[in-house]
Amino acid sequence: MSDPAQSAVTADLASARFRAGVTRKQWRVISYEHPILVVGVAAVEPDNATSEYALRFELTGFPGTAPEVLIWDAVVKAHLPANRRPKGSARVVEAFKDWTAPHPVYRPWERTSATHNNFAQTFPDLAWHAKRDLAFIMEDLHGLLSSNAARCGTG
Amino acid sequence: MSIELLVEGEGLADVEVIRLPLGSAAREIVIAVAKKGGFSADEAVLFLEDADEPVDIAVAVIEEAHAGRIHHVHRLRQVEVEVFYKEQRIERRFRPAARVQRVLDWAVGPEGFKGIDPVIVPELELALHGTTKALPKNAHIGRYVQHHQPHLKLDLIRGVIPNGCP
Repeated sequence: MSDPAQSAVTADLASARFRAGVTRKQWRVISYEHPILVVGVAAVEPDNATSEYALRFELTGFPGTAPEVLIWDAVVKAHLPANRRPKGSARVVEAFKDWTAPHPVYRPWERTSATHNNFAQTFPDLAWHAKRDLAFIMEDLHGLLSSNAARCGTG
Repeated sequence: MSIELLVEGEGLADVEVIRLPLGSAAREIVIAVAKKGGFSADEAVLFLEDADEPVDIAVAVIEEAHAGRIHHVHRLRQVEVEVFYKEQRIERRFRPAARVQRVLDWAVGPEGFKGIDPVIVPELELALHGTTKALPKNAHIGRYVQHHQPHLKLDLIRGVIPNGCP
């Protein structure tokens, strides 16, 4: 394993915070063949049903370069169409809207989104930098996708 | 043969991994975390994440099932939690191994604050009192208190809805 990005990803996947999320069944690795990592993230739908969404990470240059992250159909291997994207509060809808090629998740830490209208500069607490790790993104994604539970009163 | 365990605790800034022999006494978890946290293991208690009761370390033994749990070691048995929201204040005791998410669930639930618009409930977060940065929901609240300071003051805040469009 000579690619520093691959070494960094492997280290992140073995980190305590990433493993803690797996232990809690908040996320899981579906596949990893560098530079592509596909993870499943547990979700709660607005009707309180539990579900899971796949996210595809492109990790070239990681962690110096922010990950490109798409919400993914792991079966057909394409970005998830708009009508199958997560629903819920404004925060959820905004994060997973289908907005521009390559159809990335709309968060300040995401490679494409970060440069849109000074997104990363406006929200530094959510912006990517080389000291972040994959668990940081996973916690944000799981927080969003499980936030409907609060509305349902189940936590 | 040894096993890797996930642990949080007093004096630890985040969840960590420790390795201990399978079949050893659960007290070894307490000793290992106390050493990392810089306190005496004699007064410390072992919890499992979000559990209501501590683990009886006099009888518990480290086995494979422990790899599927997240542990917490703290000298406090209880944390006195106060949460503020607008003009309201509520309080309740939690175990140090309770996650921030569990406190949030209580704060926005039937026993929590009154009059919160259900539409904004999924956007609410907890922050340390007087601050605006949301705490990580998976963090154990014991991370934010010390043995000599069992009180934790939090604010219920509305999380940002990032939108790159000005």
